[in-house]
Amino acid sequence: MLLDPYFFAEQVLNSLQFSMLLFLLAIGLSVVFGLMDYLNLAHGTIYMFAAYVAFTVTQLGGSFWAALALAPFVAAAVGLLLYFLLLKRVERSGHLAQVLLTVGIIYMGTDLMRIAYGDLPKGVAQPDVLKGAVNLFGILYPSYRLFLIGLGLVVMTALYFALERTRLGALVRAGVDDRATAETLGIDIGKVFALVFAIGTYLAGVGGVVAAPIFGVYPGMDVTIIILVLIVVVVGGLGSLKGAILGSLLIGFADTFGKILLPQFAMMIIYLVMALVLTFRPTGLLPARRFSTSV
Amino acid sequence: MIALETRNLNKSFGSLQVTQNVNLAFQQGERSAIIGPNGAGKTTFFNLLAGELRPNSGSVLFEERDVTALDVTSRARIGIARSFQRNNLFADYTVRENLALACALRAGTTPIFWRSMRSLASAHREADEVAAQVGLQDSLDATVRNLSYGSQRQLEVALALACRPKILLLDEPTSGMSPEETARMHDLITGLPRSLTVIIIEHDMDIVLDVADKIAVLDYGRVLEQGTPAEIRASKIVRERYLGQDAFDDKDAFGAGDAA
Amino acid sequence: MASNLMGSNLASMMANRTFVRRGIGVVLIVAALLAQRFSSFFAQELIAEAAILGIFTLSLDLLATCGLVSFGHAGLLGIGAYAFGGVTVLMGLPPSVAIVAAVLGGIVVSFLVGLLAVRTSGAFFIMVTLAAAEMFYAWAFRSKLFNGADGMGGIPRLDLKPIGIDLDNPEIFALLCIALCVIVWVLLELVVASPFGRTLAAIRQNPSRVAALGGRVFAYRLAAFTTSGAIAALAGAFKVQHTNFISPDLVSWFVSGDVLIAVVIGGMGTLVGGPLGAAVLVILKDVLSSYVGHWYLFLGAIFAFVALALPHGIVGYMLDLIGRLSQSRTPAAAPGTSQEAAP
Repeated sequence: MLLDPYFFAEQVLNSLQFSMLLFLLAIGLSVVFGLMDYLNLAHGTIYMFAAYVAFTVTQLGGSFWAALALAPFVAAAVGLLLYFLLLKRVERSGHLAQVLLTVGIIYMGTDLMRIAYGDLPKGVAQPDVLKGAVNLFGILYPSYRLFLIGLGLVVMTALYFALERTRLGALVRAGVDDRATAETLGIDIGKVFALVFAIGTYLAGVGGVVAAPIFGVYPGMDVTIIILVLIVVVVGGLGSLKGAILGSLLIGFADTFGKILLPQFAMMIIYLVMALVLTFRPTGLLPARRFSTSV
Repeated sequence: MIALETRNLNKSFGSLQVTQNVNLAFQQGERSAIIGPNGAGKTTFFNLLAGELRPNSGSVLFEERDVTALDVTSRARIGIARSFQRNNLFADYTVRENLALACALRAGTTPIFWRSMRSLASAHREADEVAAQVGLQDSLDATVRNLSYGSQRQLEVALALACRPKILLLDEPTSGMSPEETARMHDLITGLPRSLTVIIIEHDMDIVLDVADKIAVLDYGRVLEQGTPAEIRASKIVRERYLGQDAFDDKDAFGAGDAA
Repeated sequence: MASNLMGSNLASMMANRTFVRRGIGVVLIVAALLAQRFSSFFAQELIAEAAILGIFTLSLDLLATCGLVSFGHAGLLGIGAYAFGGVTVLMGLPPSVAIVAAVLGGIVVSFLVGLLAVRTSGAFFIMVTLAAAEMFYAWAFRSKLFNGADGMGGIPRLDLKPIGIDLDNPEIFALLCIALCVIVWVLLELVVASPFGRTLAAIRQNPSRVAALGGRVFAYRLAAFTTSGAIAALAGAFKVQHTNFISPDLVSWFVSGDVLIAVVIGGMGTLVGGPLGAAVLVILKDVLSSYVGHWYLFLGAIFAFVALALPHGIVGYMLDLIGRLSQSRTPAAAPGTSQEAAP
């Protein structure tokens, strides 16, 4: 089956598309973790929330594009609210407190969505202009998925320039590298945190909206995705853009090809990938912080 | 006999060269001091000796045996023990519990899970002895968290001694101490047996000049000068670079081949 | 003079955290036995559930002793459960053999997973253990052998009828579970007080120092993880005996979350806090689910509350309180001297 070049190419594209989705969530989680040492498991809840908002927008007659424009902002706003009201309180309390708080938020968020929308999965229609397929060297590939790949690449490029070329990006990289020193240099790390958190949450929201037409909108989608995103972050390494990209690609491909080759053991393949990486690189493939700077 | 030796030791973090071509030899029983300005790479050098860091190139030899590949735990087991610059203790335990654990680790009795810790008589006996050696015999039941800073520093050294090491690395043992506490630490160090090879990082020159047989001066990761206290005192370079002029102003500090 | 001495003796006893913890344990045992004796039929099921969860929490808390917090412990519970189910229902062997198989399976799997997981620590460890458990869940969900998501029934209980104990009687089964929990607790109390246990606690406080003193931190953590896995598997074997049913839900990350919150509510690192938290959680869930439809909302709020306000848990809070009270009763030595009076 794999020997058929068309099928293989199609699966490569599928892997890329899934990798892009994982990337949209992983980059926020990774940088927040690398910069703020904050393990935010509720990242997936924002993703789910944005998907539901997108659903509501389309239900009210809005287009997919309206949803894409609106929902991530709403998600980021809610995320920031959560941050200032709740998450910030356990910023310095250690990972266990953060895990407990964010798992609590996951439980509450999932049930709130259940109460508001019921248990059945909802759908968001693909935008008309992207319905149908494109002929790519003989393969008929859905336009929407191509759009997703394109979107991911655009975001990656934009983030690259933001991190490497802008002042804010330099501040973020400094903070990830050595927070204490950055603070003594007078950088208002609090503002940088909030901004980074907002951007990361916004991207998760984008992920939720663009994932909805493919995967549907249902309570529990937050957990399904966050587990894979966590693995991406572990494999890719904390706090770095390159790490998030590499991790997303690795897991995206492992998941897609795993499901085809050994459907019952797809998760096992992903775990093996993670195991292999951690055996040789216990802190991930391309973490931002690799050296201790203490002399 | 040379107890500990480094050959062409190099360590860099990214493009920052922290240890450059360090060749130092420490004779058995000798008291050596490593001095130099902040950022000279002294603690990094200790980390390389103790095994916390791997060098980029070069080797560490213990009793003429190459131990560069050994990690911290292995080096501690063969006899290289160190105290830390910042107190690195078991804060929830008492002084006695700290020391008893260290002694039990050395004795290899820590895997025991069927008897209570309290029943390890020899570990507790040794703990009492080490406590007396450093002057903590009256604080054995105090929780480390509640100890004065000076007493914690003493425990820092005591933990390293509990390993019954052959090489003792003391990283700024008197840092932050009052004059009385410093004097106590000075007596502790001079009271150590000559079977032990002692290497100290220190900023307090009174202690250094009094305790050390040999002094090595580090500057920007390189050995600037090495010799007896008298030689170091007389050295023009040392007075310029370290004891006198501010080394950070010296733009010639980085020679060719150093990364910016 | 004499009364001062007695007062200070009592104070030093109360300040001795071990004494207080074990005292709480004894109280808990008495409460459990009384509850079992005077409870309704349905309550027996809750007691058994709480006791089994109690064993599970003890396994997690042992791991926490060396500073490792697992978010995938449901996986280890599941190994015991599925091993027990497989050996009895699929292989037709007696439950006594199955229990041994379950524990052995737990040891082997946790050793293998530990080889990887224990190399990481902190947040990475949380994520790796979660991923491992999810892997097991994904398999269990699709496993044709065990009927996948539909689950498999007919799991028999241990047959002690030859010695006159009928475990099909819910009251007897609940008593057995309590007894098992007590035995595990007592054994772990001994381990925690042993040199091995003290080393684990030292590793939690300061792993780099333990390494610098010649302790093989990885080996100790792996040993703790493996032991924890054995106990979790035991809990799993009894879990399926209790419900007579096996399903992938046993291995879901909700179960990992449940045991974690139970330990935290009771007090992480106190050992006795685990079973206490288990009892609280079981009662809470029962009360919530009978009055409220969407009770995960409230459970989530409790998670959040505990994270924000009660990080040391009930027992931890009590120990802190007692510690502070006893310190205020003894004359304090001037700070800064090396002569400190023991509280």
